[in-house]
Amino acid sequence: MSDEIKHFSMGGIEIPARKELNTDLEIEELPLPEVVYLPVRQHIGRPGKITVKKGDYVKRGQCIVEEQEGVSARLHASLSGEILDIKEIPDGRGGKSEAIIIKRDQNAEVKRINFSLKTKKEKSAEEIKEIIKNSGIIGMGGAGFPTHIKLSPPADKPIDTIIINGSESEPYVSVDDRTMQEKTAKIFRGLELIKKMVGAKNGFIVCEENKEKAIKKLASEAKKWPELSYQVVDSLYPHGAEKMLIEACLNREIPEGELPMEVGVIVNNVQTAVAVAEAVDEKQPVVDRIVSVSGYGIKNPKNLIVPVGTPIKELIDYCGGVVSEDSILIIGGTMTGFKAESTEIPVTKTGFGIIILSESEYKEYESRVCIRCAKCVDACPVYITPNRITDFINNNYLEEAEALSLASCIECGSCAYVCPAGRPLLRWLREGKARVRERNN
Amino acid sequence: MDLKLSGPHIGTDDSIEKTMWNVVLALIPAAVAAAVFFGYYALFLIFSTAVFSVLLEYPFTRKFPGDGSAFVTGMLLGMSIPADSPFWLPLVGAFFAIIIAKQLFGGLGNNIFNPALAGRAIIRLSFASYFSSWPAPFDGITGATPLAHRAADSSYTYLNQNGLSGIWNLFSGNIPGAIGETSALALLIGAAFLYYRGYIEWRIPGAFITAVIITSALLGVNPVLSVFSGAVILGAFFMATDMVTSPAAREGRLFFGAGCGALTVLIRYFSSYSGGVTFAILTMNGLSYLFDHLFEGFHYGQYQIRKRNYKIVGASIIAAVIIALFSYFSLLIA
Repeated sequence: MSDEIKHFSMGGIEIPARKELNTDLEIEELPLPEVVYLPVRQHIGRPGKITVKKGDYVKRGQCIVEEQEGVSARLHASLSGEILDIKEIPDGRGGKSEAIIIKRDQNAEVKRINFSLKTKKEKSAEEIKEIIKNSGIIGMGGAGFPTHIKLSPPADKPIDTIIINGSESEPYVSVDDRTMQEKTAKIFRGLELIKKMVGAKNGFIVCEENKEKAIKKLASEAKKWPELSYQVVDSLYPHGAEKMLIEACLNREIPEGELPMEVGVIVNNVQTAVAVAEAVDEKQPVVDRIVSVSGYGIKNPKNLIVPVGTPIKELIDYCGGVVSEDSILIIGGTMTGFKAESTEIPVTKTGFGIIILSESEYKEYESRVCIRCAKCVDACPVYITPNRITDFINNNYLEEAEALSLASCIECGSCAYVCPAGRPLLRWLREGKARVRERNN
Repeated sequence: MDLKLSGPHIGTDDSIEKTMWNVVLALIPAAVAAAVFFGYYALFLIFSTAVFSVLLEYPFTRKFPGDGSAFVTGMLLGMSIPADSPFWLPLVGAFFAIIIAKQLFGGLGNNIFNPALAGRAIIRLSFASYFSSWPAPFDGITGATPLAHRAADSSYTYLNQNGLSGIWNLFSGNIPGAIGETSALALLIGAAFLYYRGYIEWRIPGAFITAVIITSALLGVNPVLSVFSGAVILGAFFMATDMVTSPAAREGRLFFGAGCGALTVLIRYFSSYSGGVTFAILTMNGLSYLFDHLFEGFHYGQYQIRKRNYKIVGASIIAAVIIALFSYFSLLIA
């Protein structure tokens, strides 16, 4: 790709990136927790079929939930030990979901992930797809779409470009940043595998300009992979959104309501690429995930590699606990994530961050009257008009809201971030989308 | 999914109050220029109106000094009257602005018409005699504004008589006119400040001034005189950009600004009132929700629709040009 720093055409906001806390911290291993809670459904789509029962002994890496027909994904045990129970636990978004609880066997020997690239053995496209499916890989940037489905587009939609998304525009989080610095070779290897599997011509890794160290690493590694490259984009929020990324890098616009494959592109997160490389080369299913524990409310911010299902309490304790009892706990990013009500909630495959905000930093919504300042309109990266759409949603005119492209909203939160009247625009937009889904069902 | 737990959990430290007090700050250079050109009585008029407006709003909001929007309204109103007005004139205007045009419509955010301009329109029509002559800067001798010169004599005596220094006087504000509207320089400093802080955006003022220039040129009026005389600068950067009463959609803002500019020149040219900005912006205010609806613009992902529409617009422009040329030549032959 070109050396030029690219950016998308309209909207976007400048947010303080706050990466200084975590960008220089090496990824550490969290000591294995005593108990893990593995929610059965961590991906988008249908939940899988549980293949174990209470009292069974499982080994780390053993498949405990099989995928079903259609959009579905596997799940593997992240600890060796006995299954304590299968029951409903809070899912961190105000609802409940079924989870498998495993108690660790103290004597089991556990091999953790190594950071260097091991043997490269060539595999065919079919084999790669099978391995990806069997390893339970889902979109690990936050969306959680099963990767084996994403990477098998219908035959009439040829894919020419694979983008590996390393533009981590959420403040505080440094998961992709650290991965690009420490597992650079694995990312390129993952991209090579995905590219081969899909049969795409081009493949590149995208990184934001404010991650200088990661860019340097990518630049030196790219010399070893003649067919792959990297691209730098500017650090406007939300560059991590795939629509924005495709527009910035390739100047292609995805038609309304369609997927990126419509324009011949597949976007995968850096973590997903690493997971693909580890699954194919090291036969390692997704049992661990890298999490940034950050924010000015935590004593020692850290980047941790933790078994999937670890309660976030363990991570916070390992990082020295919170500075003050008033601080607010966010799971995911501060823009798109959810406020956690308890510390029992487990880390899922898509959970990239645990952010502890001090109370003064936390935005309390006041919902004052809209002064029509149009800041939300100017901030919106898909240039819809959040002020009008939310007015329609709040008065229950769903058709009108849909006519204004409610479905185009990527839920980045830029509108609510800039609103001077403190209106919770993103909540209302999500509410509107939920109501539309409800009506359609 | 419990949406109360949903984000974003961080935000800007921007607020309605901050927005409004920044506009007040941006108006300070114009107030200073007013004091220099018209004396301290002008300053007294501006700030007495502003404070009175805040007091008028107190029974409705129960907050002092409130969110600052009433202060902005009062300042703008005080700036849009002649410097020799009696002290009660802007206070009457403030009453209409705050009570009728703003609070009776539901307060900040719900008013359809710009309160300052609505108040001004009412006193402009009710007490027309105070608006017939304008004191000149420094000496206080009342005279017609450059606009009135033009209305009387279409050969622009003002510019012809004064030449280059006339243009400088127009720009710096050394001309007869309302308190705050004469000094384009001071107003532009304030506007630059607002632009830098992100409280105004180029579309409305840009379209406004472009439309003034084009319409003036079409009507054979000197565009420089049109832009720098009367309230065009004040209107384009501070009145038309009032957030509540202007459209929010991007393309709506363009059309809104263009409409304000074109109407301003048309009213000045064809009506007996010299100042067209007030009525032009008030008219367009009434259309702002409609413009939001009509000129919503395209959203991400509507590339195909956009391309088709551009083709239709392009084809109709070419067709119109061909028809115009054809009829022109057929007239020539006949």
